[in-house]
Amino acid sequence: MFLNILCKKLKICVNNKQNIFWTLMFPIILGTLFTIAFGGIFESYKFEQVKTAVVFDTDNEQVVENAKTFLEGISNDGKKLLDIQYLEYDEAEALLKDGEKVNGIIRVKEDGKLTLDILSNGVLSTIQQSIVTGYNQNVTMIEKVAKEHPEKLYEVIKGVSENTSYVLPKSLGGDNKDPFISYFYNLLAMTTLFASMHSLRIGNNTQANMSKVGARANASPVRRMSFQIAGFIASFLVSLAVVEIGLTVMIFILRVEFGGNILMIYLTSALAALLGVSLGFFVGNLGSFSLDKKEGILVGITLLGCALSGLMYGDMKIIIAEKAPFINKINPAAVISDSYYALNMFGVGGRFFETVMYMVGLSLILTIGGLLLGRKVSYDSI
Amino acid sequence: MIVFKTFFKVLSRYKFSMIMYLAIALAIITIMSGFNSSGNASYYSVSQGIIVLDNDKSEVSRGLIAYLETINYIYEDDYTEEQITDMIYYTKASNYLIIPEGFGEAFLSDSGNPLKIESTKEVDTRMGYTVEAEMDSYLKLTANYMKGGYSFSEADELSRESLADMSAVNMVSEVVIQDDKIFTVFTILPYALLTLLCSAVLPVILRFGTMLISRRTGISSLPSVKKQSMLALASALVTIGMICVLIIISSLLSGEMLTARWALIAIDVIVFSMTAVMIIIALSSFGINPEAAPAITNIVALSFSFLGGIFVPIEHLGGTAKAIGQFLPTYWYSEAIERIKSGGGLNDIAICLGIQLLFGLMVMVIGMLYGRYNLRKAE
Amino acid sequence: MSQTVVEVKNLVKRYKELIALDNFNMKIEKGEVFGLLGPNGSGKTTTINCILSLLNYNNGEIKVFGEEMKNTRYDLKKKIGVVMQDVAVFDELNVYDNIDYFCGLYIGDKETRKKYVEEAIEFVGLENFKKFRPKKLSGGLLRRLNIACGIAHKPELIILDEPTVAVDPQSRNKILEGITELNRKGATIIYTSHYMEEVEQICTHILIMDKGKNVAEGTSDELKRSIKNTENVIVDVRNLDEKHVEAMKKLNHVYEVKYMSDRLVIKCAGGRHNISHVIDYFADNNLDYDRIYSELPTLNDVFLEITGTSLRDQEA
Repeated sequence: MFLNILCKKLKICVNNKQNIFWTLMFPIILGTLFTIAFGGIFESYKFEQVKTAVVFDTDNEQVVENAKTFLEGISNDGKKLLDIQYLEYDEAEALLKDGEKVNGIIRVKEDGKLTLDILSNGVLSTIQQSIVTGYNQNVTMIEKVAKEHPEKLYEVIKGVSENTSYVLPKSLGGDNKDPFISYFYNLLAMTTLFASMHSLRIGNNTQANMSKVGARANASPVRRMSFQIAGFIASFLVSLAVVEIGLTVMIFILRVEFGGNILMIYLTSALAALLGVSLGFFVGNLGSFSLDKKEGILVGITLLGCALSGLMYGDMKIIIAEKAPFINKINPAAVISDSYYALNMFGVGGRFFETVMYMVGLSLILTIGGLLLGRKVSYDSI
Repeated sequence: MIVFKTFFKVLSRYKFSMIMYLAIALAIITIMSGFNSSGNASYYSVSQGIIVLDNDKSEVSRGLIAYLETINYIYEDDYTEEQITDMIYYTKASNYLIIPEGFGEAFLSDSGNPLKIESTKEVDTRMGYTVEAEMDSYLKLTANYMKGGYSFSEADELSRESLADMSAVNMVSEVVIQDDKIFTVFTILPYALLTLLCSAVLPVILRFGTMLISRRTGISSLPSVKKQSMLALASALVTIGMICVLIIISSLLSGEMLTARWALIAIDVIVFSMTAVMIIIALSSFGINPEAAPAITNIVALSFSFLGGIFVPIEHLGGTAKAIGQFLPTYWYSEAIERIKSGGGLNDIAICLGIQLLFGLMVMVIGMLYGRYNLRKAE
Repeated sequence: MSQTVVEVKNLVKRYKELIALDNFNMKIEKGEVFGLLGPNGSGKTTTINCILSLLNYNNGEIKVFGEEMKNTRYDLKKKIGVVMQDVAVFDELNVYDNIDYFCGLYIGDKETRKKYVEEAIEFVGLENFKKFRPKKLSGGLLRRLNIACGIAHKPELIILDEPTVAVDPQSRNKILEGITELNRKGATIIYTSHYMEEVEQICTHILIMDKGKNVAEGTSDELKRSIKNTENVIVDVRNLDEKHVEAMKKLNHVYEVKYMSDRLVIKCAGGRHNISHVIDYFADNNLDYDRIYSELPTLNDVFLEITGTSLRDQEA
């Protein structure tokens, strides 16, 4: 009997083609657009040599030589910082103004100091400024020491020419460190939560005062719980299929690198689908509102949740983590996206299992809550 | 008139989703508007977040931190490793510095082989390099001043003073880029407008277009043109209402109203709204089920916003994204804002406004042609 | 010996200020086609919902198959089939799957269910529409599907709540014939309607409800016999003078005469050849008329006499 109910509920879900179409198209369309939009951003964050034009406003060979040696010798972690072109000022200026083909012009002045011409503020300009200021201050310092402590001058010049570094660079762990991948985590979270529309109807379809089929179901000898559970399983299976298909498209066609073990990514998505279905199930059993109103509530929770977990503005999640961390613990979208993130950055370990626990825990709370809300057996009015 | 009145009655069904989308948009606007500095035509260093674990707590380490703090934001709380990873991943901080115990002592003794500060950053990020370069500059300069016979406190003061000297940097750009709150706030408005229109006006128009209702009104004595114009008028009124609410809220948030640039931005918003209404009219011709409105709202609003530079600045997007973006009105909306930012006037943004309207007209015509084709097919 | 299938005692149901059922009593014996007749809002559907334990009630007692009915009495529910007033089917399932689903709530065995579903489809005449989704069915066919979903599991008690509302005459006849057939096969039927002709046609016992009360019950004949009215003489006549209306009230056995919209209705209590007396009156006074005929009282007359209003008036 239960199997028959489950089988029919599954058919009902599968035949709701409009719902399936949109929940499936949603991650595919937006996933494609996100791939196009964010494909190159992280690369642009990565360090590349700063294109710099160097112009000599002096014929003093010593000054020219010192500046050349200094600028060409600047490196970090074994990588040269500047990509230098020696040019006349007019050429350099043309390159700077023509879409910033060079990021800045370093001019070597008669007094041995450097100046920097830039078009706009930014990280690259800050790097160049730091180099120019550092060089100039060395010159100032040497002049100052020569005046005030001439006996120490040799040591100072030796010190300046030494390439001492005080920094031991280390890199962050994790698989895919592209922060823009978190937009895909949130997109998957939104997909699973939108897939919860499948389970939204369960509540209304089992309550006599909310639907005609609910009344008929209540007049039958089958317990309410059986309808609820069968509906829940059917919705979960459909949501699972939709989410995993969306994920497969993202991984194998759009080539999105989620980071972490691929099997675990699929498993995480299954848990995310469970959380989505639980949410829909809970809202579906929430009071005697019309289906439309419940749909509104669900869309509201989904959108607000995704906005707070960073679907529109990526850093939102970390802001919430600082200002109101509990929201990230109860926001289904944040819990889902955090579990993909944990898998990527920390691998299968404590943090990942913690997010899994949250997903399972939230799912349980919502499902049990839904069952308790939906256990009403008779009504004051229909 | 009855169509007009009914439009608002049906619209009242969607008040919940309107309030919801408005709340989401306002939350994003409020949060994003808190993240920009005020306008500056001169050079300034770009600030990074730096997490520091000072195991040394010496005069030198405090001096270094104090110097870094003049340029960057320093986080010195007791963070867990996971929190640190979170902060670096979400670019809240660019580096995690561990100053080892004995660092100050080794620095002062000038052994030639100093203890090193461990700097964890995302591989190869520019921001990470910048902080490391700043540290090295300060420490080298201070060390050399000390070699020149100055005490640490003197050397620290001299280094800080000289490193703060930005006189060597010249901005050669003739245009002054303004970076005020008003631009951040208004840049996000198209998302708010698109979500509001797609979630409220679109489903109402779609309901009027559902087969049975459309047939029933079709056989009534009400001329089709009149019905369509009533629908258009009602949609326009709702949109004007939305624009007014959004402009007022945004103006209050940015603390600017009735200035010349405010007027230019307002024109941009109005033109974009007209385009958005045309997009809605086009979408309504595709015979979509009103139930699908939430999914369409998000697909349209999110894709237009991401590709049009609403959430992520256009210059950050990849080449393909930029190329596609140019075909979207949101791109030209953002471009107009950029031009106003650079001091552009109505003449400078006219082309952006024109392209937005052209896009809207083109999409609307395609939608209407498709609708007519479908109608013929059905007949 | 007759067996009571449903017994309702002193049932009271209030919706805030409104009393929907006011100490309502009803007893249904096995094998009956029990008609619950009353205008819209008289409490028929509320009674059915209370019997099914879908609704809470304020006072009273309901027994089904001799046992107290509760929402958790799944053993009792198993013997009941319900055809709701509104069509209650899944749009996403086709005709066969819908019937199979609802039958499956009662019948676990797959083979038996398959047989029952086929029989139900044949019973309502939907053989050619098995693969159709509900949206593709006409109003009449949809009603038939609704019935099939309610009766496929061969229940002992079938409750049909206004199953013929908005149904074409052909489907209506098919439904009514089907109900009689189900009863013939042994099912007890509760049939609610505000169409008195239907109730009169198929019900073996009729209960008339008004404002939540049981106002009369019995067989159709018993009900008709219980009232003063025994015959109605109707004359289609134009421009009849008021003095003739008054004069006819004085005819033998006539107790009420009404003239409205060119129709004269003469209500008689007892007597024979009442129509002859009326014809004679028209002849004696040299009055022309289009048509004259005699009717036995209907359930509407019963309702009218008991409640003071007509069933049809209330419908309007």
